[in-house]
Amino acid sequence: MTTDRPGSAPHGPAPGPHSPAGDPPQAGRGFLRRVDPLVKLGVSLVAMAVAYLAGDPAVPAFLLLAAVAVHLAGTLPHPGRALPALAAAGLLLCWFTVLFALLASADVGAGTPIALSWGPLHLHAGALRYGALVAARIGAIAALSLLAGAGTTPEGLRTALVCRARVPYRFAHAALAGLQFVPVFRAEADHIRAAHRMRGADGGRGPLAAARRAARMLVPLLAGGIRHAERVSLAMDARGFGAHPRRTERRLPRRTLADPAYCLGALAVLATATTTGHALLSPVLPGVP
Amino acid sequence: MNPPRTRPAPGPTATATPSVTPSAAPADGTGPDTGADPGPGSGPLVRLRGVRVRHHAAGTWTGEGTDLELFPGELVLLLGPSGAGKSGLALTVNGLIPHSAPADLDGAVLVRGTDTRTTGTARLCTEVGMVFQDPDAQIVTRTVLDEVCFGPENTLVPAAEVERRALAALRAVGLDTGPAGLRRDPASLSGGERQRLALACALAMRPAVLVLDEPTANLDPLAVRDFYRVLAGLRRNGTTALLIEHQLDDAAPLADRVVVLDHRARVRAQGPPREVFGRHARLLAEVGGWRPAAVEIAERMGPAPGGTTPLTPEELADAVRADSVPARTVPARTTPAGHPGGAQSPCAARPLPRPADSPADTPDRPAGSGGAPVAELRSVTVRRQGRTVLDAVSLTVPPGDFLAVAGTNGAGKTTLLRTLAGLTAVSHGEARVEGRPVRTGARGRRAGGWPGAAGRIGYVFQNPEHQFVTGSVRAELAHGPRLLGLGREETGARVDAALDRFGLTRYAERSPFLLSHGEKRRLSVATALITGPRLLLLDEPTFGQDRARTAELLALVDEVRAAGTTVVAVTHDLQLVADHAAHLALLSRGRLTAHAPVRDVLCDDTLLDAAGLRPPPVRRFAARLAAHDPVWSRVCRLDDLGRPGEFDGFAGAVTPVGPDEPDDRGGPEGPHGADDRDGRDGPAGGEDRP
Repeated sequence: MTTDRPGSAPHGPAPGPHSPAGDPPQAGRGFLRRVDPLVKLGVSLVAMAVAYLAGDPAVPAFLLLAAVAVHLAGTLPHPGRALPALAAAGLLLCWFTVLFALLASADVGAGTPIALSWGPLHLHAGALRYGALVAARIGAIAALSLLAGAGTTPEGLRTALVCRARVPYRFAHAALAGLQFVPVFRAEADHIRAAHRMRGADGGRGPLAAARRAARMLVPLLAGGIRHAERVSLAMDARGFGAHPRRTERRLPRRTLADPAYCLGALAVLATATTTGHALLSPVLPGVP
Repeated sequence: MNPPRTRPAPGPTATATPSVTPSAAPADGTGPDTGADPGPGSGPLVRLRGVRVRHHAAGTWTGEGTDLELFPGELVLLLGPSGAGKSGLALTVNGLIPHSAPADLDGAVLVRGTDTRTTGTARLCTEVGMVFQDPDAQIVTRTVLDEVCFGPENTLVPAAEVERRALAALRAVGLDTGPAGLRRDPASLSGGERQRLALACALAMRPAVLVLDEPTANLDPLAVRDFYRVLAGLRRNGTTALLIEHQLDDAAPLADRVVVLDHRARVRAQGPPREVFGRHARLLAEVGGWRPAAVEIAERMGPAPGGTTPLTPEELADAVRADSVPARTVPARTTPAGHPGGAQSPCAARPLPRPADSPADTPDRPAGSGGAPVAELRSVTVRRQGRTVLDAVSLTVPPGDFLAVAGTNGAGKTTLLRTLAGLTAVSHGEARVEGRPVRTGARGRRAGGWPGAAGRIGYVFQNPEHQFVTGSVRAELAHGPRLLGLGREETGARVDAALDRFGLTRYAERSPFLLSHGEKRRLSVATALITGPRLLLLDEPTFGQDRARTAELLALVDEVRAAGTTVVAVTHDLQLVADHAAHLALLSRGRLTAHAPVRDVLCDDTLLDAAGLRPPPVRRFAARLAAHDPVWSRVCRLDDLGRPGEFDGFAGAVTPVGPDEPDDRGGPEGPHGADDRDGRDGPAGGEDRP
């Protein structure tokens, strides 16, 4: 019936029950998927600022470890997939430490004892400390960005943006619909690449030939992409997208204790990092007295 | 709620309209709109008055104004040539033109009395549900349930009601409503399922009218059948619909009224489908519209039996069985003597010995039937991302052959074609073209240029735009000869000849991307042929094209074949295969399940069924008769039934055309005498029938 026509609904998203049926696949299994995506994002941003501003490598290092620990505990990933990634990240950070220590200007290490000697190469403790600081910052910011999105589905983020942050749903939805373009474009690009190879238009080596190839692919890819976008937009309009200033939300974000608990935990971690992080981590960090 | 109405006669033939029950309400839940209620007695749900569309990109008005009315409970099938602006008309019904699409509207469209010029799609979307051609371009979320809920959510239907509607709509189109089904990603559905999902999305809006714009153009025949089964179910519930379609075998029987537009988008004929398809053959041919295969079959067999026009092959077969068709139409010579048990020939590593009269051997074919194969796959296996796409496929394509490759989506058809072209790396086995191994990737480039090296292979891709690599039609044609190292003069001569032959001279300096679709298709074929390849590969060359374009392309293919080129084509259209190809290979989940002369494969229902394919219309017609009369057991080509021009009244003569000559070249001259050449054991005429 048409009794449910718009017009009488109160302001704000139309209420609806949380519907488990037909929910998109959840990201991970742990508690992080229950935390509001915007809360996760906000906490990560604050922690990133702290990690960036701290002058002591112990602070970003502590935040890095905390972020990794929360991420693992909050999404319970398969060990077979998590362990290699962790090992790779650890090696990379060690390399960064040495690299940035070598790149540090001479004044940074001046007056500090030599911490490492390898043939003609001498690393002063000051330089090593600088390298550790930069590497820890990079690592902390990377880990916190990953943590910001951990356990968040695109749908969850969209709902949070619309219902909590009052972002216009047209914007939030259009961004999500854009995700659907990715596989379409990928298939299209694959076809075009094959067709161009068949025409013998993929010859040559080096960056110049690669640029030419890319330019040639751009025209059909753009032509197809624009057509596809037009069709999608018409199909969305035909189903009433944008007809009203708001739309029904079937999955209202529920306010649970997870959000305040996550914030409190984050505060505790930040406090620990800035106060006792140095004491806790200085024995294991290079170049830190 | 709907006022009783008498349907005005939509045309001169309205008396024959199958009665539409006046109580048939439109889709439930669509009470009349207060204020917009047309009031009792004012019939049509949708009324188009002098509607013209001007697309901003084109700048000119399409057509001279279309008048069309759509009554409650009625399914109208709209036919017309491509370019007449049918899709544009569809977009005007819910106000997408002029409100959303970059186009202007002239004339008026009234939906239940509401003028679409003043009322936008935002309000009309609950009155008019739309299904578009491309299933991919209608999906905006990541789960089936979210997708169906998207529309009702936009129109502020309460959340609990949204899901009730969504589930009802999904059930109506026969999609899985279990928790796992609802959570599926639409991208993981087959094309047919995705299009039914799009239909469910339209239904969830509870519209009064459905507008379907070529909803099955991108689907394979079985998916088409399933889609129209769903639509038939909706019809029984009284759904009102405007259907634009050119695959009529499944659509025509559903229609209450067929409306035929001409090139200027004016209504030239309308009435019940049997009337329109039975009486307006010339008009339909003129506007390039498809006709149901049953009508074409019946036309080849003589006057329509019993005065009614059959709409499905099955219906026609029953009419023939009821003996209302003259006996002269019995096919002859459809059991090749040299083919005992030819139907049981699956998985042949090599094609069976061809019958002496198979098309590849007709006298006008290039010689070389005994020569080395042009293309060969030796136990080829292709794995991609842990999936076996081709599984130990072996087949041989002799010179001058026309091999069709069929199978469901994902069966490996395109991969097979790409393997022959050297575009796909082979995990095991070997592909050979003209006796030389096909090399892929960098190794192939080093060894002698691009995959179509030395112009040995021409490849026509499904979307012609994909294969354009230069900025003008002339440069596009010169590209291949230039890579071959032909001289400037030779290249110029070839390009000029190709421009002339393909009717592209006018556009020589234009960008290929600015051509019309038909011209793009011609150019893509021209670029594939200009190097004089021995092997021409075609990937779905007729997909989503209308009759005129298909006929044009097939004429070209027949022409290059006559000139000695071997053709391998991937296609869903098995009637086209029956009428043009010599051999047919079936793929099912990467395995070759059959490779034999076309007739042997198409007349074996078990083989087709196992490959998930639907027999083509002529075969469905003949199979129904074959149960009673084995004479029909090997009929699958239109030409088995005689040719349209040959019917010369009620002479009562059998029209026994040799079933294995798909075209006139080299074939016997007339309808008589063709069958007596080899003294076949097939019945020679209608006299044998009871």
